[in-house]
Amino acid sequence: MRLSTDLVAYVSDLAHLRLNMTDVERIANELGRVLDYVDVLQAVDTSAVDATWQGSRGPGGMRSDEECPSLDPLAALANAPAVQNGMFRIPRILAEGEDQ
Amino acid sequence: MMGVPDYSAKGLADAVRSGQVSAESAMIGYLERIRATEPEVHALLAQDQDLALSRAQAVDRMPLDQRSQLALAGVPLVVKDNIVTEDFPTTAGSRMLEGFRSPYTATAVERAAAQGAIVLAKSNLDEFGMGSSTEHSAFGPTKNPWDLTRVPGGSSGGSAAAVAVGMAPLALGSDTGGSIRQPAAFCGIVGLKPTYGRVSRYGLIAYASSLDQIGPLARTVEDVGLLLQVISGQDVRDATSVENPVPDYLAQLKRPLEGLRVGMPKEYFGQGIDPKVRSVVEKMLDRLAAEGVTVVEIEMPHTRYAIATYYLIAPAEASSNLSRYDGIRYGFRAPATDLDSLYRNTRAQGMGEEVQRRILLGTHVLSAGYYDQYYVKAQKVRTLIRRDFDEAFQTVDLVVTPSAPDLPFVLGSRSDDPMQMYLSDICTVTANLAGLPALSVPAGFDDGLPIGMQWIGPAWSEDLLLRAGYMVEQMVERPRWPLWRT
Amino acid sequence: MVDEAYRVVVGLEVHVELKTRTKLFCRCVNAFGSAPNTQTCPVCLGLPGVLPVLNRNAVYLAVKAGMALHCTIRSVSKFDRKQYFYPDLPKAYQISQYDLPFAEWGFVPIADGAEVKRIRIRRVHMEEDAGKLNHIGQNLKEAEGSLVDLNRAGVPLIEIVSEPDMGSAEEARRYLTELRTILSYLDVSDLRMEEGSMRCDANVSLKPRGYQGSLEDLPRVEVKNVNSIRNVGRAIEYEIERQAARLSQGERIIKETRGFDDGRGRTYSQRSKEEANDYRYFPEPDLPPLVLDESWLTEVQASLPLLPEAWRERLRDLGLASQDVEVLVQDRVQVAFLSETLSFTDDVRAVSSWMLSDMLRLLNERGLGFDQSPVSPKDLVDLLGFIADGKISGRMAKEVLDKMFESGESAAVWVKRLGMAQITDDSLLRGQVAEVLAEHGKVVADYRAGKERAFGFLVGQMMKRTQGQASPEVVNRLLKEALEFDAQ
Ligand SMILES: [Mg+2]
Ligand SMILES: [Zn+2]
Repeated sequence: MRLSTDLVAYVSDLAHLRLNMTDVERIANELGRVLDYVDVLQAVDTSAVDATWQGSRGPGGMRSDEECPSLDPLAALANAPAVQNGMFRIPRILAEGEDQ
Repeated sequence: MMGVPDYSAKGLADAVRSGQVSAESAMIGYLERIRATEPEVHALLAQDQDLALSRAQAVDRMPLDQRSQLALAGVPLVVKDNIVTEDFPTTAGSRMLEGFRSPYTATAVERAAAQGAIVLAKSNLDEFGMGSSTEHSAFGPTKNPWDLTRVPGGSSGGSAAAVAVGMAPLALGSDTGGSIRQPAAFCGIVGLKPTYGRVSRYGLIAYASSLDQIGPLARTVEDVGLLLQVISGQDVRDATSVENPVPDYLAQLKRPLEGLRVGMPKEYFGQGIDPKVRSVVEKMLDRLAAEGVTVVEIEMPHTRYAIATYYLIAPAEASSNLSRYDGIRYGFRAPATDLDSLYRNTRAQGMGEEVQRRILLGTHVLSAGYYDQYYVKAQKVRTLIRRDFDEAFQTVDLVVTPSAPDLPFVLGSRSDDPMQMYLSDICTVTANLAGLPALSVPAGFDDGLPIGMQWIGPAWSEDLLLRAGYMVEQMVERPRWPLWRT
Repeated sequence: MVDEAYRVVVGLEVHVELKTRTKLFCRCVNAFGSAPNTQTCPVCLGLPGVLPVLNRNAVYLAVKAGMALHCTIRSVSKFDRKQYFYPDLPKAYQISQYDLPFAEWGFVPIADGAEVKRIRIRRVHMEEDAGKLNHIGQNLKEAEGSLVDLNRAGVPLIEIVSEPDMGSAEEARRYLTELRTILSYLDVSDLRMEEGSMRCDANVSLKPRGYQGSLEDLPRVEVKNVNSIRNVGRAIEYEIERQAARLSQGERIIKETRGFDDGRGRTYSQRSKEEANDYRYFPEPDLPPLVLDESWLTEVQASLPLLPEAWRERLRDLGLASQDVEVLVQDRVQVAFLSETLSFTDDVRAVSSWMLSDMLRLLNERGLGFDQSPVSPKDLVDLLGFIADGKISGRMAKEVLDKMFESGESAAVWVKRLGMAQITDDSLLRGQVAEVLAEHGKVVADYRAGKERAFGFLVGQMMKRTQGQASPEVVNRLLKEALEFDAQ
């Protein structure tokens, strides 16, 4: 099975990954092969089976509502590619000419 | 082999605690070893020799009553580079995080350091843990120390290779589908994936959250137990870590296992397993049987669905976990004049091909219209795989399989075919899907290449796994060090 | 015209920030108004390697809210990831609850004339808040860039989703008002719409007469993030007009998200292209299922305060007028104050009338609420006791109350200090009555001749002699006794 290039484009859009046309072709094939392979699962009868969402076998904990010092803002911003006025700077959200 | 630090972690810690050996002199030996081997093996991504030395000196200067409390006094530790550390950059093997400095340190590393371990380097890995050969590192592949033309396994290939050549006696790795056990097998050392929830994941850069677990790698079973002891236990910063007492893993280690019943699932010894691997593991089982271990053949019928299940669940969780790499708060940012291009270019340029492939696969299987067919289905089959184990442990104490279906393969030989690469996890993914502990221990050699066997136990049976591993270790004749450069 | 051709269908989604000390999944302080990015840590910044750990107190506050809205609380619920990219969402997913919210199927009663209408609550779920974007420039469209502040990222929210049970802007206003009052009684949130600690999205559609399909299928317009209850009403009114106008011209309604322009009183389209809302929800693997212990739930239920609806009934039963009841019930601290007075007195009418007049005036002058009043419920009851016992007059009491507010001292102290105790002793007053009658023989004669007004003059003379301290009641009685006695 080969995925349609439309579907690959849709998925890469959701994942916010820029793909060029040759990438789309290649990935349509590769993902198609993997999806062919995983199709074996459709043969398994799981009608009476609950899903296992979690890795843990034991109960997990909550925490008390007690504060811990926050990071120094300089440390919070230290790895940021662009900073202004103590905040993370990003370029314009709407592209040039894009309507609101 | 000159200048090889010939300590076990246990032996070194004992000697440093009592003052017989200075941590500094030991550290100097390991640093020399790194200088001699690293250029060819390329196991490491970051190291800090000055820091390591000054930490070692600090251990030596400690008052005796303090130092004698430290389980890992002065023991060098290599940390897989998807585990965050304040003292070293953390890249996860990705361009995306090149130069990233974490403002906090992972719990497992903190716990080891609190016991006197000294992190001297961060080790190479497949980008974000996604791979089985360490070829998918953005910073070049690691070589197998037993044969430099071959892969060390992955994704903890850097940790395994570093320990195998003696850069450090201990390493931390992470295991999502076999990433500790398979490279341990390929590099002729011991590696353990603990029960899910045994070791805190806080500070482990998430690949697939419900499968990931940090674990130890070392040259001996005892050292694996020693490091496991120190990093285990509930952590308030990880809600999936479990409040369950941590036993003394070394107390019973050397006691013979009388009447042990071992299950040999036929699904792991058939098609897809290299006959050389099979024969080494079977020979070891014969020898164990001669020692009084009962080996019975069992069935685990859902094993054949494991790879399919894994390659739906892991990419799905990964696609979500890796969305945070968006070029806004940290890491790589591609030049862009608007937000949308910033996102798309940053992620396309910052992440490697295999990572993108898994993100796209994972995004697809979670997307509207496919979720039930793929993701929910896989999580249900996962339940069946768990049940196979639960049933097996009704009749046997432990399950034995090969650690990997084949011998270390030649670099570059599998990179064109993702599906082929995925199949190399066939022996290991089930323990992750079932959340169970599993140990890989060397079982023998074939033509100079190491072969590992895997022991899988019920939840929280790490102590039993270590005892079984210790028993095997005593029977294996192996070269003390990789022979490529004596 | 609108009423005839269409029925208005409104459903509201309300986000309420919970008043915890720390955020939902990390230990950063949950506070409004700090310098940017000063309340952040690796967890709420979404740094590599971090994990969420649930705040137990957030769960407690959320469950209280769910119970007060008469919901069924699930003993096992779970968290899910809602995935989308936006710069205010650090992990590119919001930890929320999807198919198993912690609370479902409740209602909020709203008054509809004499009737009470129940607006059904479909679900209440917990989720984390996003950060804040500051645009460089006048607005999003003009902005050359934006700045991200993550102080608010990870603050605990509950989202309360109603059924589309409201048939007008007025009903929506009443629902929101009542919802806010209920939540204020629980003290689970600051509920400040202008600060964003309570936010409302309104779903508005028009159902044409004779429409047989499901309400879900009606083209629905979502007006996002309106910043006051009044504006929610205005936005809905505008939407009803706008949609009705389109429909009457034969145009169709586009399912879309709109904003509300406060200044112009109009809604506007926020997104021109149809957004793909493929959130790829899946269960959060980093958080174990949320399991709530039955006995704990019973305890929480038992600890809930009396809610507005119950207070209305209680106060009406105590004989208060409905308008007063409504005014009192609106404010949690008013009710708490009143409630405390009831342990010292049965005269709820006197208390409420003093609260709503003089107390309220004095508090407003000082910008205080009833919870900050320098005069305690007990103080007020004591003051009213002096009136009831005839020790001071109502006019005196006002003066005493002023002094009590200024000084924080008790009524007894001020009555004494001002020398205000009324003269109620018959023997002290009888002699003066005799003197007054003797001095004003003509007036006495007038009174006896039937001039009623003459009596008032005599009272006035008594008050003058006693410098106002004589109890008017006692003076009346003694004067009458004396006049009748002499007449015989
Ligand atoms: Mg929401
Ligand atoms: Zn935080």
